[in-house]
Amino acid sequence: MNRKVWKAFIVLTGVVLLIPMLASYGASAPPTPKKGGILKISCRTEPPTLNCMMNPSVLVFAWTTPVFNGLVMLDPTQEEVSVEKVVPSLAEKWTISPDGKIYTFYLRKGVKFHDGRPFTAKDVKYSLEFFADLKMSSLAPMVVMMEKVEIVDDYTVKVSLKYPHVPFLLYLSNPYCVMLPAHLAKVSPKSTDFLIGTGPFKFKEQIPGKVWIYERNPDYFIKGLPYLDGLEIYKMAWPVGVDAFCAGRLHMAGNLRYGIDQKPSVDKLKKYAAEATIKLKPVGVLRGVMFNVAGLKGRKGPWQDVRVRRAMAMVTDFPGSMIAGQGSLDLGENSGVVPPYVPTGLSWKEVEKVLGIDKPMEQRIKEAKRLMKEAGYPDGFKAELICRNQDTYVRPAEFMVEGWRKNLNIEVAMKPLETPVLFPRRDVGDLDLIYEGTTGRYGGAPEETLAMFVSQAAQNYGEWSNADYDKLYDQLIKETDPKKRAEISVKMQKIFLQEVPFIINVVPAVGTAYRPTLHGFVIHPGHTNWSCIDRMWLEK
Amino acid sequence: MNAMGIKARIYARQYWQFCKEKPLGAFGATVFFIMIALAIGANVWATADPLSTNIRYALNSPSKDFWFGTDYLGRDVWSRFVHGARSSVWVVVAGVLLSTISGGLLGIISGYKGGKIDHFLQRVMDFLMSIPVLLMGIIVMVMLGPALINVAIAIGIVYIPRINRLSRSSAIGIKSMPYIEAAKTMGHSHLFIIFKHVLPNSLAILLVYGTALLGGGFLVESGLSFLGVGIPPPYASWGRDLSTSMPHFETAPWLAIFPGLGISAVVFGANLLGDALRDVLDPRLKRV
Repeated sequence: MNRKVWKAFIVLTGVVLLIPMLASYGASAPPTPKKGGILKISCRTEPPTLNCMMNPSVLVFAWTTPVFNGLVMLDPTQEEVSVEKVVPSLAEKWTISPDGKIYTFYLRKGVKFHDGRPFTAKDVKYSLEFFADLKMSSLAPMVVMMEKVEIVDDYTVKVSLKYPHVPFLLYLSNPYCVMLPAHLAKVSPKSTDFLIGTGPFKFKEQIPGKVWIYERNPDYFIKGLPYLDGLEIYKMAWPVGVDAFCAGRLHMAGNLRYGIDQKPSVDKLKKYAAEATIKLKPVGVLRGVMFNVAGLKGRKGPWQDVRVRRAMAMVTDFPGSMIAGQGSLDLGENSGVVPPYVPTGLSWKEVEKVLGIDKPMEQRIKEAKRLMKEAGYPDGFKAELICRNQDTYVRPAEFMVEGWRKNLNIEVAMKPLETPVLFPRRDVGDLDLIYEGTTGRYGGAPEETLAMFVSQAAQNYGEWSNADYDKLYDQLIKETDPKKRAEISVKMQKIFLQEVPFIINVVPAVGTAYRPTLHGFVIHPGHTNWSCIDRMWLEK
Repeated sequence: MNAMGIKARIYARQYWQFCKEKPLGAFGATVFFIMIALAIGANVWATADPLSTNIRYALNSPSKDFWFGTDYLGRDVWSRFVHGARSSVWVVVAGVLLSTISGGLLGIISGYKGGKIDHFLQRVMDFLMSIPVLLMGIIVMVMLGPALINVAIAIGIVYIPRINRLSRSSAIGIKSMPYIEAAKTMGHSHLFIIFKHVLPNSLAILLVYGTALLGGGFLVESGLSFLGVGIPPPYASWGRDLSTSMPHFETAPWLAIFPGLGISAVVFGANLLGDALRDVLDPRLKRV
């Protein structure tokens, strides 16, 4: 072979190797964010209040999150939830005292509210005290360990805890713990005048019942953000939002966290918006049947006997009930009292073992009948079950009720009720059984769900009470050693599962969908925030 | 031929005459009575337990095993259809009976007595009539809570003012008749006159209007159940089954088609029958 041929061969080989390298470089390089565009999303109903601390629901925070910021937030670039993933927001840094009881937050300087007033330590004190006020804030029970908030100077705040509490920062990172302007403390949270925050978007106007319009905040404290010129949130039922997305009228099927909660919506998206990415994450809501264990309002019955509750759990087809509610096993997971995706949460296999449902159904039915006989109810009994009048509540309840009727002869009369009728009954324990969901969880700490079932806790609707469980909870919230925390958490979960005050049939996964032209979107598990909204951008 | 046979032949001839004169009415009666037969014999016609779930068979299309397919919990839609007919017929007939009896009696008392009682009762009826039928049904159901018997009560309350007006006008006409004057002269009590003379003479019109209300009653029941405040789950109900089929319109249309057809057929049948009965039995129309 002569030299010319050799040269040509080497050049050709080089070119052949270089082309794919260049091509792959081009493909993996992150696209450059583009400024401009109005993001169009939707939410099921308009908010009953604009102070999300008073009503911790997606139906509130969806409308308020674009306007407000928290002191800290979850990393807006990662889909993970843990204390380690908490990053600065309005506080540029913080320190924790060696005993874990004092948090000192150093605030960003030069941050302005949408009305031009500066953001200072006074606003932090006002907001955190509101957040911890049991009379005003629905989330106050979560931060009962907060003792006081002191202003050190205009840009430094010291928060003292009664005892060390590891997940404290996670609680502050949730979308409900927002920094409100102290100078507008007297403005009604029902008025849109309340929507004055430091957030990336300013509230512009609303067409009641149709759309809320937000515009870019040019003075946002992170220079260059947000990328979007504005935001429009349309009031639409979730399935309508999915239809609007399929028709190209919305950029997301619902909003940044909610929109898809049932299989028919997923099927529709796959059929009519095949190019869309569907993201589903567990919301940390526990749904299932709760018993009036304490016999509140004179509603005493066989369900107060732990053997009866265990029998009812034993004959429950858990995966079946999940399909009944969600339409698919992909839209949720079976869970114990701490969801399996949370560190220290028992796996479903472990839960099955504790509940005694790790055997074939025939054997479970036999065992359940034995328990019923032992409890003195071999021929079953009658009870009433109330639930929300919504498919995702009625369907799994129907399924579970039928299982009890077929296998244990328990006749449960179902009463689906509208929420204004249901909630007052639920809150005073005027029920035999209730199929209900807990409120969403905000972080990844096991305390969040375990806390709901300590004696007298607000969401412990049947007022189940166990002294060992309560004692362990007190230990858990003060314990800083992760290993010991895990041990205590597991013990508590097992006590709960053995006593079955709540047959949890699903931790639903909900989510949204978006087209490839939308960038910067990150979804977290849990009832999480929209911390990525200032980084989202549209290609077209 | 014995007396029974003669009677049967007379009825058959009358029915044939009715069919010839009112073919639409006869058609309505046939459809309506098929539905009634389905409802009465639901246990016989059903091929499975309407409540029994089997998630493995969820949303199966109509087949040899499942004539009308299965629903989202794997329940047999045909069995739910016939049991849905039973629930609907039960609550509608009970509801219309309730409204006919109570509304009819109140109307007769109101029309016969007149004066302050009439004035008061009619203002109450005005108030009840000012609320749209379905809204009234919803209000009653929200107050009473979801249960089969409560749906019947809701339908009854919804139709009381309509029956009341009719029986009142009938009573006003009857009370000026000479035989009522005669009864009064003979010293009979008002109660005696009402039950002996006014009520029997109003019965035909109440019967006709009651039948005509059946169609509307089915619509109210279906509407309430569709909105989720009627017959509670897990009982089969056409309205609720139609409502729960909504998310599955595209993938499982049979869930909407069969309850929808059931509602349409029974309302259509009841209306045609009611119209025909009115033409045949209403003495005023006979004169026309």
